[in-house]
Amino acid sequence: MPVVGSVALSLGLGFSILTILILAFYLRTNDYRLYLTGQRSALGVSVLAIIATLVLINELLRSNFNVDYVAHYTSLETPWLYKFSALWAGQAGSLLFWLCILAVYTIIVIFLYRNRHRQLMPWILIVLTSVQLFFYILINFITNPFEPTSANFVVANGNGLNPLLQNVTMALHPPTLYLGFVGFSIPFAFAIAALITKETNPLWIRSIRRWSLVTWLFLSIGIILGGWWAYQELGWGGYWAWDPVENASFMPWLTATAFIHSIMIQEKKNMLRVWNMVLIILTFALSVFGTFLTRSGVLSSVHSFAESPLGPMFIDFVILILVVSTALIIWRLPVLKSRKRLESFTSRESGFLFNNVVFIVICFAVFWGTIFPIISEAVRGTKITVGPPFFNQVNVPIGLLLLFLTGVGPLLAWRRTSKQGFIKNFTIPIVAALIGLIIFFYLGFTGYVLVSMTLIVFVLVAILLEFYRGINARRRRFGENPAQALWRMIRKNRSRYGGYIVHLGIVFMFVGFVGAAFNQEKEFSLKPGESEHVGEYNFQLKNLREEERLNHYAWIADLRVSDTHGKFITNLHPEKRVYFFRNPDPDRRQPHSELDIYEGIIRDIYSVFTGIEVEKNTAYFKIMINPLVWWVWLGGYVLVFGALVSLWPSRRTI
Amino acid sequence: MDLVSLLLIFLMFVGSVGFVIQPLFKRSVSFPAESDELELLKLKKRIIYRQIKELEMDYEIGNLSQDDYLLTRNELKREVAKVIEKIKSYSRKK
Repeated sequence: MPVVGSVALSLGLGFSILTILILAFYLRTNDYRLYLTGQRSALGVSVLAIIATLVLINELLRSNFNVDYVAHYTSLETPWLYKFSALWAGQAGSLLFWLCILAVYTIIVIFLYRNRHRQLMPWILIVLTSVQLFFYILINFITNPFEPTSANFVVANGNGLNPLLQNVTMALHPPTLYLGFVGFSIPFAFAIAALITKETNPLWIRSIRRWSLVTWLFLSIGIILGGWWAYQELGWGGYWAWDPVENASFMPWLTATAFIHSIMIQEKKNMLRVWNMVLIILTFALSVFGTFLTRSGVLSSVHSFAESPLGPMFIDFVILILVVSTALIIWRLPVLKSRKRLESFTSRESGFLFNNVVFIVICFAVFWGTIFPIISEAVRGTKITVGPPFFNQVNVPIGLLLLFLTGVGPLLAWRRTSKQGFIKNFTIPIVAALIGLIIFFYLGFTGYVLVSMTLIVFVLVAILLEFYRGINARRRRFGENPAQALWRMIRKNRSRYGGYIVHLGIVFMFVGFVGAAFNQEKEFSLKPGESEHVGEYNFQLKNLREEERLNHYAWIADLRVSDTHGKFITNLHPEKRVYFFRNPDPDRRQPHSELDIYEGIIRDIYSVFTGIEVEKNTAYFKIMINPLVWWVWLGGYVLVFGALVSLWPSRRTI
Repeated sequence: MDLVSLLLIFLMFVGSVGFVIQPLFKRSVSFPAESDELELLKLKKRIIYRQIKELEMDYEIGNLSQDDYLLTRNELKREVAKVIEKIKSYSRKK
């Protein structure tokens, strides 16, 4: 069976070259039959990628260890869910998965726009097929997931999946992230097609606005799930460490967020056309760059990157995207330049433009901090690590400015805000923020915490005020009750109020970020019956148990948590596991700490079973009290809900 | 290679080639879409209508002064009138 997958990949490569040639020929001859042939060929390229992916999934589920990839990332004991998720656990599989998602997106584009965008569609298909061609080349010639096992003996069992990846969140995180990464290929293809054909009308903008929002939503969910996984699985008590892999997904998210704001200005005012082109291209280039960062091995060492042609090919591809796109933008500059100008500094357009600048500045800081260790290793031979202190020092003040703009934006009117309007809209949020500032100051908050809390109050009041005024306006006009008014107001202005709900989600997340300033941590050892204090909590080890399970051996600690007065709060059961414990080679056995967290609105109690001395019957723990983390996840839910409200189609979708 | 794999590969190859070249055997055909130009005008009309709706909303909730509201509303109305006129003349031509 694997041979079917291999042939599908080879055929896909051939058909993608054929598609580009046929469509190029169509553009010369204008024979519509050639367009149809090219369109079908593009469909064929996509279907072949999907077939290859299905074949690999089949091999993974069947545990066919004759395929090297299957033997590397699964074992007989691996539960079926993780056998399936092994599809994106390794380099070859994840690149095939990238291609498969792009194939599905391409099929959707072909069906959605089969009778529209006459000028653009041939070029859109050429661009999408070119991206697919790049991945077909990588998969066919550099990292083929159907490569047979190189061992000269029968492989009875595979290596199994890394225990850290055997987590439901981790099974969902990469697909959602990839749906976001790959999805930006579509706006990019539209942008390139529009540049080539000199199409500046808002038709294509309408088409990509929803695409961008959908892919932005996937990327957001992917990032949040990644944070959730890190928090629940890695055991260091945080959800974001400015790790290059995290940054790889954060950078395109920043430019995409800037884009979904500024695209509104282009749609409404036909302005910022050059800027929007730059943002789309940058977002796509950063998505490919993110895949490069995570899949080329460059993060572990520049040398491992240089050992395989994969990394250089990715870099060449990113450079090609940037060079061609920049050349196209310069070539079409006279067509793209808008004759319209911003009418006033105090307008919503200006607010959007300002937030765009802030997004780009953060993106640049993250980019620099991410690639600096790579550059330093390549140039000087030693890797200079750029850790969280750099990212926090640079991004926290800029992030707070962004939070401030989140509150300011809705208070500004399109075109211009009059002096009276300005005073009327800003008075209540500013007064509320000042009251908040005084209260928080007296509560003992200082520095960034004080500024953050004050801004949170400002933005929260600004958003709630928008809802309140909207409800009141409907009540006055239609005599509706508040619930009816709220429901109908959102239903009739989904884009606007969906956006406000997303902002509300961001505010909740900031509440959670502030909590990190008050984290407490303690490491200690306990024998059964002993107890230890951390902050206001007491931890008593009631019992230590052992259990042999399907794919691991576990020691389970039963911790009783109570407050300082002895009042029971919860029982926690962190585990110390050993995966592949039956492996005769001790080096192949993998220890793993499975945490247990007691989550709450005010604080999380986070327990890690760090080690065990069996002969002394002693367990080692790391306990953390993490205030307000729950708000980060609540913010995530609210953000997703808001984006869905914005995306929900009205009867007459614009 | 087993027989099933061989058969699947054969079907995949023949199916793909047959599916792709089939349109070449059709008689001359043309793009079936409604004119992009008319679609564009209709879209412009809808965008301006939506802008007027949002403007009214902004005015009602107090984000705009009456002067700004009236000025912008009249500008948008003039714009939409021009677009509607273009749609009408396009339909007359057809």
